Amino acid sequence: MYNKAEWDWEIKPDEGWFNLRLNELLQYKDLLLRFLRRDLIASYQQTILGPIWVFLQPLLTTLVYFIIFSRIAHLPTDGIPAILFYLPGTIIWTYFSDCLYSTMNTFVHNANIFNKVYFPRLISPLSLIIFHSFRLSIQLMLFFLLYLFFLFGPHHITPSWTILLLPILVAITAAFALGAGLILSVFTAKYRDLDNILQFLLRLFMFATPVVYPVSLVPEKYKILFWINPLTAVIETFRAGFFTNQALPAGYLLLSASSAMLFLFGGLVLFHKHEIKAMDIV
Amino acid sequence: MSRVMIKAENISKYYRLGALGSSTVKEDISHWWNRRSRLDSIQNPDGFQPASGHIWALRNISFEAESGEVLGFMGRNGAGKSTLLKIISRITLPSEGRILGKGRTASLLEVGTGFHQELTGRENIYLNGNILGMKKKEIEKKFDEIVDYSGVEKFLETPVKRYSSGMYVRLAFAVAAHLDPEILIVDEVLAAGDAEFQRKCIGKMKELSSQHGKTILFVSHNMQSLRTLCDRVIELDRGEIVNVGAPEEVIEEI
Repeated sequence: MYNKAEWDWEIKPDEGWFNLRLNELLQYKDLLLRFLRRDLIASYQQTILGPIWVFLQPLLTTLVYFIIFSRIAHLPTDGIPAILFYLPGTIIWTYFSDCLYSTMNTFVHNANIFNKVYFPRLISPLSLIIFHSFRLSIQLMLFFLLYLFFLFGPHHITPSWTILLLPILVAITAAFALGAGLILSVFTAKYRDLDNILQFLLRLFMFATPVVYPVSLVPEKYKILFWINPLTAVIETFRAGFFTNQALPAGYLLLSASSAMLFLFGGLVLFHKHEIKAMDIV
Repeated sequence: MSRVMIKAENISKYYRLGALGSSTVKEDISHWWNRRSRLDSIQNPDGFQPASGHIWALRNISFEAESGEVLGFMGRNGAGKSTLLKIISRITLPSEGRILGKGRTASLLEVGTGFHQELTGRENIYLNGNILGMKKKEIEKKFDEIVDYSGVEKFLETPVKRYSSGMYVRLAFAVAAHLDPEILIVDEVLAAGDAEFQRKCIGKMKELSSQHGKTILFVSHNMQSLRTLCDRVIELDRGEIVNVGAPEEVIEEI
């Protein structure tokens, strides 16, 4: 038989479950950056306001929440100015749903390229996650500006050291969205119905996440359900860090981080197993 | 000195026919369950008839290609040529068999894969180059050459959606012509241009194989280009190899 070392690569019907070939991603670093550049340039072509939309989107959403949930429904915001209270939840939620949504449609949106040329398919969702992270960081700067404005106002806002956890919070959100999105992408490749169902579920999930209300509003007996959601700890830690100096029990964040990691790992394994096969059915 | 660059061993591929419906979910689950309990017979190539609703696109295809060789694939529509190139390009997986290879491969199954309409010619050169497997540095090094070759230097800063289809194809081919893989996989990209353009493509491929020792796998309906370009031709019919040999021999028999 042939000596395997003679050959550089092999194509066979199936890949093992755990041969993730993550080192291959490094060889395609240039492609990842190129996709990122393409999306950055293309996303605001033929718009008048251009990148200003990155600011306007969370501001408008927050304004709507402010009117509906604060002024009309009178939901409490734990004594924090309503605008400031809604902004972190909105920003984190938008980041999560954008990342999830673009990852989950990887095969459907890239079918024309995936049908013509090989590269590790993970490059596409990764570049989109980085793209959304750019937008996130711009939106966070908007939040900081507003925060400074309120900090020196007459409100009881006290930052604590846990604001330093912010990068970790972002990482947890990204890992959760990427992992869940990769798992879903394998199924949306085949069953387009999922796209409709998931849009609906995603909206429900937003209301199950404390975006427009504080966790303190949730009855004690349901609380455990809320903390299972990795985003709850992320948003609550964010708020606790910036608004009160009471730190959240570390266990919540650890739980959130580990379930996000679980999603990420499961997503990577399933996605890799199906990244080529999925194109036969997409 | 020529050496074997790519070797395919008993490649087979079947597809499942039929539309997606509510029964597909049930089928998927039972298929998955059967596979878990190892009741699925689909592993065995010999004498195995795929379940109804499946069709063989390729059966037991084996071939080798050496460096500097142009290997042509011909056959009627539906003979399995494109499926084979897709498997070699790693766009779809074989159901059975394996392919071993050396060095980098690049696939040209389409002119201008991944071109983005809103981006300028310049941006698209980089985008397309990266998609086809070039590194940023390589593209930078060859950028002027690519632009010269394409003849669209005046329109480099124009979005490609404003390009004529001729300019579009020339730009895309210019990028592809400057790839530097050991194995080049070309589908009927040539059908896209006029006679002059086709001559240019054939010339470029000839140069790559004879002067630079590249291996080229080339699918075409055009007997003329197969005859001028290929060292060896494989004829496929209904997913099987029916004829192999020098182009004169294989093509004469039709």
